[in-house]
Amino acid sequence: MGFIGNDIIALNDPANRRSFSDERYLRKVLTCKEYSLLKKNPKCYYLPYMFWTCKESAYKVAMKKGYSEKFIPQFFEVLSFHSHQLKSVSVITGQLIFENEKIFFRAEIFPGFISTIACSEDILPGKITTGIGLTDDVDHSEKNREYLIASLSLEYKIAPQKIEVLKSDKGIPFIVMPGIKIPTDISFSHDGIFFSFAYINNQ
Amino acid sequence: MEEIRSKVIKILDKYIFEKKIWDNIPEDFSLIGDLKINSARIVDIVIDIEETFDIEIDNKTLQNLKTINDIVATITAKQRK
Repeated sequence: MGFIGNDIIALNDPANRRSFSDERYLRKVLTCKEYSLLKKNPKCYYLPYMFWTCKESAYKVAMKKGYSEKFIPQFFEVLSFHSHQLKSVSVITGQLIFENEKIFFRAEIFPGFISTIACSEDILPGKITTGIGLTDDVDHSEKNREYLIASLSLEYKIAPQKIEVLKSDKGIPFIVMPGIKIPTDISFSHDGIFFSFAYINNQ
Repeated sequence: MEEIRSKVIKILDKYIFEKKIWDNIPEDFSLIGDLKINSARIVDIVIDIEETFDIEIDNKTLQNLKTINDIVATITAKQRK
């Protein structure tokens, strides 16, 4: 079974816009290869945001595989990717490298945000379930858990009251139902008004 | 040390959405755990610290910056060099 990580980023958030248009910021978070790719594609406004979400998602995967250091964006490098259009959403799939290990990703570019998942194994169609929501609540986590539980409840045919989301000492979320760990890996993210969850579908 | 600490706190405060968080903060607070600052803003903070104190923080150093005391100690050490 593979591990999953996800990340969502608000494209119109003023702080994000300021950061991702700042050369010093980009130099800090991107590798030389990523930076040069960005410079070669100046019209690709979403590239720096996408790189960031790939790195964050991959970091969550690395944590689950035992990495326990702080997140350093430049330690994760997007190796290759290709894009295709799915209705009004651009879908970009590719690979990153971290400590000589490949991590796979799929990023979806929406008008207001980018939602990305990374996985230690190749992302096959139907293998991963994702959900995206919006909320004005300061505490996104409550709503995010609620949505995830509703989705799992439908998929695994388990009453939502029996599904609980807990966190390990390292802050890694996992699912339990009356003392039994459901064999699925989950991940949460939020930014601005957006929140998202993802899990590996083992059914 | 106190002067550095207060300058760093001033930088951090720019990235704190809910100012109430300062009311109940441990002496050696962490940026992510206690201040709830996300990783995208951590990079902004590092850039601000570099500019304010005219120092450079590389990835290896960055990896060890978890609390306010870590930051103050790093700035102090770099300024001595």
